Amino acid sequence: MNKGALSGIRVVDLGTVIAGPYNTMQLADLGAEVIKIEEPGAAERRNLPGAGAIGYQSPDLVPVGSYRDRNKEAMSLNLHNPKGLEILFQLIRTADVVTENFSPGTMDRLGIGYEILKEVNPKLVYASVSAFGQTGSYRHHRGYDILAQARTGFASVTGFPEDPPTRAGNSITDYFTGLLGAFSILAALNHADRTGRGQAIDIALFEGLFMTLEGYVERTLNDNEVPSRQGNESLTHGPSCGVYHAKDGNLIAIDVHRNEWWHAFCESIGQPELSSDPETADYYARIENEVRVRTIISDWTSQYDASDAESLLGFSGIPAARVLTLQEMVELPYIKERNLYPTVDHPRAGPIQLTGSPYGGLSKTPGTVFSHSPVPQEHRDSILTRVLGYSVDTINELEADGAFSV
Amino acid sequence: MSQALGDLKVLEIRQGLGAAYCGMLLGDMGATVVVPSDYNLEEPDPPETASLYLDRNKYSIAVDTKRPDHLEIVEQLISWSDVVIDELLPTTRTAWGIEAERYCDENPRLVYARIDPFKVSDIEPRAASDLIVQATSGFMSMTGLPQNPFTRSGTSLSEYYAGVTTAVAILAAIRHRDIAGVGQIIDMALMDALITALEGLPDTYFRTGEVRPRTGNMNPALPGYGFTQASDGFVATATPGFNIWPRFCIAIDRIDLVDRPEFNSPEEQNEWGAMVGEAINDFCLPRTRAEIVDHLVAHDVPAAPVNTLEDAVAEPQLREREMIVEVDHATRGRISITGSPLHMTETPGTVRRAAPILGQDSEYVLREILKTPSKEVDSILGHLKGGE
Repeated sequence: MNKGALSGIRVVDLGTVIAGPYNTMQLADLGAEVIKIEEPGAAERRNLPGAGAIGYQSPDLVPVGSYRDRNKEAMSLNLHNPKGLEILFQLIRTADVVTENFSPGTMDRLGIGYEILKEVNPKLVYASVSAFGQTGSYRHHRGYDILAQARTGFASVTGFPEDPPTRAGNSITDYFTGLLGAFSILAALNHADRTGRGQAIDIALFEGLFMTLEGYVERTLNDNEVPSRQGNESLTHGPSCGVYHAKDGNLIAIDVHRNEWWHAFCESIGQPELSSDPETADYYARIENEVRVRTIISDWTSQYDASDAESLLGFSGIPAARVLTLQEMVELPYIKERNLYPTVDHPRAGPIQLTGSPYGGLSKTPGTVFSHSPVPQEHRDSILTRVLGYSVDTINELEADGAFSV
Repeated sequence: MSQALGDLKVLEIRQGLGAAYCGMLLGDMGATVVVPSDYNLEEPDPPETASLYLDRNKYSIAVDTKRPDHLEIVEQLISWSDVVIDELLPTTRTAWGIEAERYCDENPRLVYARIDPFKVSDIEPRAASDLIVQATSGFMSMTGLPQNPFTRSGTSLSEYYAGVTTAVAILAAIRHRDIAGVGQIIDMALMDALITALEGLPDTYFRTGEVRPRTGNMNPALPGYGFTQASDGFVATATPGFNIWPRFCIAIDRIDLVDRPEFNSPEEQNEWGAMVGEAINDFCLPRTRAEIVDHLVAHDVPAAPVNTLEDAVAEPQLREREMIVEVDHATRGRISITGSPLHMTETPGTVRRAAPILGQDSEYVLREILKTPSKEVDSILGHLKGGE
């Protein structure tokens, strides 16, 4: 437990896969008490080495994505067993927040839909994340990150013009949507604290990504144009914000779209006259004269190895950096300085390094990673005794009745 | 409808999309968000078309930050605020005389969120931006077709990650303020936010010394999860888990693929994945996107067309859920913009007014928010070029 900004808030988390766990990871990092409820078998699958990829699994791997469940407690419940469901119901009665990402209608079928829960817990914040939302003609469509990348048009603006639309290499949608879930939960808690009234929240993967399209939607709807992928150049700023090949064949990202940066760049490459050249002096002129701007930058980068180009520009206050692999990224001094991959003890894997908290920079209540992601049933007894006051005998009876497993 | 953050007073000083997205989320929830912008700035921040949705619900006041009396207005707005969102360039902070620590000393309840590409002491004063963060984080090395260079996202994704992560941090800090009576500084980095979304691949690397190579639009470890060429574009399919796979095989009439072999190495798995990929190609290539998606969805297999933006904005679901709404813009007239994703039964996110043009609300901000005496307002407005 820690003393984060959200200490005292209890979350019962039914979320699975990425968006759900990432949502409550934010809350747990910030100090909320997150109780992860899993169906029998789900926790075991989540803890498989290399879980996430079907088929071949290296025994050395720690569970992929287990960082998203750090700082949480977990227990498994058989929700098809009346006693298992009753335990969940009792836990939600005591909770400030419940989160779920089942397909729409599942919670109602289980008998724990919002209309029932709000009767017993009027302050409850009930947050659902689904593919397309709880309403609308697509509400029963299944959805995954890759489908949202496809359907929103995101993939159509990523990649090179001569190649197919390209997906982002991470499950970009799940992360955006999980964060929107956490944000709306905190807004609803603020409202509940002041009014005593909770509410239901309906966040959709499709919309989580659609919100981040940078005005391309507005250009399409209002300006009679359809923005499309421009490879490694910005669709908005053009080649003055792009990725170039250096002399050694490595890539260097250079962003000189701002006049301040462009002028420093011109100085740095020994062509200060370009700062006042009408074709390149001004932001809009550089968009207009994209061929010339591209040539100026690529002519320069082709003369230097990427690391030399990075140093030359970086020392002049110009945004420029080599394009790094993940292996190179984790070795950056910055990563250690910010403790972005802290070490925790895992009961099965021993000490492991995992993705850290983005909230380390809160001056009074920094977010921290204080515990590993739970193994199956790790906190069952402590949750049931602490939260519901059950005795060991009661827990044993429930176990015999099949409340925890199938 | 009431608004969850109707009492919250937010000042947004920004040269970046992250702050604008953060302010948009707070504004959708009812916060009063004021954006002072320098009318001498040379680049649009954010770009005009992005501003059309990111700046809805906000108030714009135009200032000339070379004038001490105008900088005084910014200081007054900071005093008025519960929350400041600051995503200025370091050079701009210096030019404006921004001093977060001093503001927090003067107003201990202030929540001051400061967004930068990196938070660094050792490589300062290196400048950076979203593109640099995409490059440095390893995100680009995960993205793109294997035969292409490492590829950037078509959007400034680190800005959006940091923007909403900051918004989460702000609401947590507001709760702490309400309980403990003190605000705080939130230092958020685009880098720190983005690297929490890298699927745990770095975590695996620490354990094994290996990183799974990027696989572009297909993943041989997950056959059926990717983009496939159709007769009129591409379709996306997703067949994670064992329960969907048999339905998929039936749908593409390849029941012989239902039983997966045991794999003894990643190579064996990739070989099988490539064979399955061929089968999917054969099914999709002669058919249109719509035919394929309808057919697969009828078999309860997740599928979607790979849309252009034109296709995307025509999706009926968006209008049914008010994800595209119309507003009256000061110079463009009636326009359509992205709506609010914050669907909530008691306090839904709302779009109450169009994004203002630069300085559209200068007089309102001075008179109604800062309660500046009338004489001074007239004198200040005489120097403001806003609202043109």
